[in-house]
Amino acid sequence: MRVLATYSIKGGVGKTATAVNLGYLAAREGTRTLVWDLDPQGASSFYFRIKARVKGGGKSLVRGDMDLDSRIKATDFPGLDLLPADFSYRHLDLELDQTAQPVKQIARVLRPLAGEYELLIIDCAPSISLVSESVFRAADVLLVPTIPTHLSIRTLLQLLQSLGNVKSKTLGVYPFFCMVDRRKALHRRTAELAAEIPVPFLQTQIPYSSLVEQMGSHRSPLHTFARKSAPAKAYEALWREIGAWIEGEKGYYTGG
Amino acid sequence: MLLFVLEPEISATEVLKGLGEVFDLAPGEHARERLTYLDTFDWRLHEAALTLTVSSHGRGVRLALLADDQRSWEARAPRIPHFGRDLPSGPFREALESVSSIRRLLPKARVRWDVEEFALLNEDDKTVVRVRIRKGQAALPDTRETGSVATRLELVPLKGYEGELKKALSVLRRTFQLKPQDRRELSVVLEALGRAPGDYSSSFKLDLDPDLQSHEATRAVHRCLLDTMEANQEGMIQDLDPEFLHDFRVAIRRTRSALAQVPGVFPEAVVQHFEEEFRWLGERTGPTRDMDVYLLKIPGYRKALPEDARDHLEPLVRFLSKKKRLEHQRMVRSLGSKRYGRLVDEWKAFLQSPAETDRDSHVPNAARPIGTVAAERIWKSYRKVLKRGRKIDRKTSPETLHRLRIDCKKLRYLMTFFQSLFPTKALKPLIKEIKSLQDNLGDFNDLYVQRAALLGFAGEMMATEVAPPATLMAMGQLMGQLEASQSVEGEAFRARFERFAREKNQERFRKLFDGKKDEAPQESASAPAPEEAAPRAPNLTADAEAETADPGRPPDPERAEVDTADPGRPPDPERAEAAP
Repeated sequence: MRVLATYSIKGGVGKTATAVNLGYLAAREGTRTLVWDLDPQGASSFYFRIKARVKGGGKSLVRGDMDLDSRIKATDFPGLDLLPADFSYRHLDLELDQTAQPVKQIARVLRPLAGEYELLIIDCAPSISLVSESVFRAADVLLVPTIPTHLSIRTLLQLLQSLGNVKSKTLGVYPFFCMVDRRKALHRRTAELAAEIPVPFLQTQIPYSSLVEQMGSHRSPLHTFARKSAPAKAYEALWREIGAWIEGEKGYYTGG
Repeated sequence: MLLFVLEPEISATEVLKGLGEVFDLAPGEHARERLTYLDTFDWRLHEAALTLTVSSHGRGVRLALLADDQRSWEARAPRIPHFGRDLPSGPFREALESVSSIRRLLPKARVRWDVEEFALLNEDDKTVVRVRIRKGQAALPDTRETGSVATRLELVPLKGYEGELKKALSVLRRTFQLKPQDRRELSVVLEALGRAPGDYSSSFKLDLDPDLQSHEATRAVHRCLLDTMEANQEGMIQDLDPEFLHDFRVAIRRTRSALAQVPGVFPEAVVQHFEEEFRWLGERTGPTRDMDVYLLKIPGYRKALPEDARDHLEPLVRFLSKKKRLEHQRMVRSLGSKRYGRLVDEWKAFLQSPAETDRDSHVPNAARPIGTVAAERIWKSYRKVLKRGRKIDRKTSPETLHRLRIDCKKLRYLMTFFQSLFPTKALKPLIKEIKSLQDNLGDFNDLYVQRAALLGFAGEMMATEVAPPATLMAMGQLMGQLEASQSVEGEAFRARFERFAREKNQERFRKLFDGKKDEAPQESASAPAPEEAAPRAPNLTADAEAETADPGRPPDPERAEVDTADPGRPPDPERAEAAP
């Protein structure tokens, strides 16, 4: 099972849309996929029309004393399941802290799922915390949606610095530009912005589009209502870039 | 997936309406698919809990293999494969070929499915259970006969929504008295056509009443064997796969064996006439089988040779294939002959004729209960095997070993015909013992015959100038290997026989078959049988078979089927049948 986390220190950058649409595309190709909505706000769960509630809350999940599988829900799409969010996830740091090895804990509780899914996408909450650190340890790939602004670039640098402290040799960090608006001068100079980062950006850029926002009113992945739109095509391109990695065909920069 | 079969009085619309009262119902896709269901003639896939379907896909076909335990495989091919081996190697072929082996995949039914999908939704409009309504028009592959398949309702559970599934199930149960069924799709499809899977099996199955008069019981055995011959006739004429002819020939041999081994139930003239006719049929079908056997052995031969010598066998393959075509044409002509037509008609008429016709003739066993007669015959046959086996040592000729093998086979046939008369639990281990001995003798004989046959082929190939030196050398190499294996098998025989003849087994045989001393014996069943070396009418049963041990003659068709070419499953139904 490959583990991919969509992560950003900033909120509202298209993290959840990425997790939901990539999960949909992966499953559509026949990859057995699980999305874990680890954000207490429960946006992924909302998009899949699944109640953001987990029996026993985050506490029981993190302690690993229950059967994770029994908390999983099927989405409306074959091959795509969801481990829903729960409001109690906001206390997850505290719960993790009480385990023996907090940083390794998430990787440990995920282990039993390895046989059942080929791909796990973790939709993380926007913050740097013990939870995110534990996710970094569990993940193979960190997908970081980045809006082409100086502020976002600065946050991304902060993230890379903090990742330097995480002891993982295998974690690959893949930033990509999203909500790109060609009408804005800065958004046309993404190459310059990317040059400030010591890690290569993925080639795909997700354009700004109100269709992505409409996922909230449709409560469904983009492709179910705007299959041929520009952002839908962009997510497909993103999945192809990332999917190649899932197949283990491409060696990107890995480091921290 | 949970499956419900809707009776004609319950319409799918009503059921959906019922579910609609509890859930919101959203229509989904409406699809049509045309599926052809494939299986081997003897239903190997069905027996192995597998369903193979094929549908057209682009310019080719899409194959789907589904196991009862929900494992499934998919493959694409340019056309419907005839055999598992026609597919590219991979998990699909492995799963299929390990079961279908050398048997041809034949269409068993075609269905036009009409599938409507619906989603049961909760208050968030989230799908919690999927519902599919399947309606089908089924047809048998070669006829215009069609039938409507009973409408199926399928519930597809979604993970994490078990409560909702229960709710849906309770609607089906309470309102419509519907319970989930555990039946394979093909069974339901064939039912619509008045058929059932498993209508042919190569193993002999017949339930007999021990009190039945012996001529009646023996007629039933023969009818069973004749059915097998008739079932295989078309496939063997079309040469769909080698097993049709093989099963046909096994039935001939069993028929001849039953004629000779259950004496005194039919008039002597009848026995002699049909024995002669079935021997003729055996001879007419033998050469084709011989070629089949060697063609089946080719992959094993290739493997036995060094890699760079393997392709040298190609001229041999071409030689055998050509010979096979000629022999097959000759065989088909024989099956179209008046003599064959008359044989079948007369035999059928005799088997259906009333018992009275037997009364005038000398038929001492005809009216006796089959339970008694069968035990007598098996006991006698068993002691004959023991007697001949004890005389065998290192110097024994292959011909004598071959004769012992034929005795074993007769014994096993008898036990197979009459298995229903004896307790399965007691009979099964004995059949297994004899099978093990027979296998050993068979392997020995087979190796001997193969060597002789290869030599014969080499001679023929040289005479017709189709034999490059490299091919002859490869064949010589094979002969050397066969000889080496033969001496290994010969060594193994003594131990096997000791095991077979051990006191415990003798006791088992005695218990089952030798309980009739108090009855008036027909023939010398209770005596130590000093005349066994020359059994009654030996020329009727042993001749054709004993001859096959002669070098230079084609291989023994009865044995050679245990080919190395087929590691998945021994194609020899005789060997597989030990477990009734």
